[in-house]
Amino acid sequence: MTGSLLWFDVALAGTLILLAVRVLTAPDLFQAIVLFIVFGLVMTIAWCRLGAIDVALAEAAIGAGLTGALFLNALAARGAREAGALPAGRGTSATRPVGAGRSHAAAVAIVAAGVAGVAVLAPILLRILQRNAVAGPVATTAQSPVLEALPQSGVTNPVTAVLLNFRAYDTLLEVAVLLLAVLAASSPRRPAARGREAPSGRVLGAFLRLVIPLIVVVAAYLLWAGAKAPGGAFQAAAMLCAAGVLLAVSRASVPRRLLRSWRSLLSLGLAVFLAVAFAGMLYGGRFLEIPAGRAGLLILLIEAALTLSIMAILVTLFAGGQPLETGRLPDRSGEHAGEQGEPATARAWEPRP
Amino acid sequence: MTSAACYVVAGAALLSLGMAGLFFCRDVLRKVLAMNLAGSGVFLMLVAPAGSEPGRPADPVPHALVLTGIVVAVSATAVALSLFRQLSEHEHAVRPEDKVEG
Repeated sequence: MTGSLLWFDVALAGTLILLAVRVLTAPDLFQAIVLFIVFGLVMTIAWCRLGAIDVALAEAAIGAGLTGALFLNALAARGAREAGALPAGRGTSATRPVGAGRSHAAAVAIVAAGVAGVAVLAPILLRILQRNAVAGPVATTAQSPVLEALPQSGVTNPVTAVLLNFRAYDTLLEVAVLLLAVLAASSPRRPAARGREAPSGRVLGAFLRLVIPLIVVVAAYLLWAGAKAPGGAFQAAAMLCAAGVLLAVSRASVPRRLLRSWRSLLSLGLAVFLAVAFAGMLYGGRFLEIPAGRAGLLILLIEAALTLSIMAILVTLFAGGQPLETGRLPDRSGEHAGEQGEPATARAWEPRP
Repeated sequence: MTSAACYVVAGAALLSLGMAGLFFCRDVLRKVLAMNLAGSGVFLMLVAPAGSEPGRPADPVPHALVLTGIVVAVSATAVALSLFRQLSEHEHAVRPEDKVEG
């Protein structure tokens, strides 16, 4: 971070704050969500300026992309509910300003609270920054335990080493949290009325045929490169999840074999992670102690399983928490197209054999 | 003021704006948006002091923490939106004409 680009950093930080204020005070919800996605992309640039490339990759794919898609989904579902499941031409009711008379006061309150918060927090944080600078940089190789132990971790990317070796316990619990989120987001759902027809168009089909293989290749590269360069399981999973979301939104058909094993795909990552963790104990180590000799290979194995699993989890979260059992991915209203043409009025949830 | 300082201040502003939005916004979707903004602010405050400068590599531990934080934030958002949807569907399902039959 050179001083000559300070003006850029100041402008970027200012843009972030302005976007945040606008997200919270824009009367139109759709506009707010789109601004939130833009906010996520500007955050990606901020992460790059701070030297956190792994975080930038994750923020772009998950923080901006998937979160924005989740919000748009929720907004569309709410619009469909309020309009009585009518066609989406009249979807403005969901974006009607809420509490229009009070929004001005709320906006002023939010900005005032923002200023007050900065006035309170900023001096403390700036003093911490100064103490960091005065006491000497913490992360020199001579003083950072992470960088010292890096050669034994099996990878050369320090962030991957921390995520999957030194603090693998956190990542293990994180995957468990993701699985819990899928459980929490699933619900017995009453079948929605027949939705709109699948979007037709040869342009869409051609676009999917072009983009999805590219996404798969880039995701495989990110997974492989995560050991040496910014990348890794989460970023690769986020890219594959983007492909899954594209398929879900365009209601394309997916290979049956993939959908039948969807549930095992969800838990594959955690299972492999736990297997490696316990296997260490068999060879005389402790739980989750990765032997230094095989660390690179084991980390790649765990990351590969995690990529598939997290992709499945994120797509399931986007699709409304329903396990994908039928012949098509469910569309945004949770409707399934049954394999043998089951009637739409079947019971909302039936345990699968 | 260094580059890291601007991002730290921006992070503090985002956190306060997000918490204020959580309290003052009436719409649930906007509350969840505000929660995400507050989360982004916290991430900025974590990573900005650990940034890389010439002669000093970046501290990877906050990066890993923030990476985990982003993933957990998206799953929390998904659960919040799903709960909101389930609640709305439940409320929409109980209509006056149904109550007459019961």
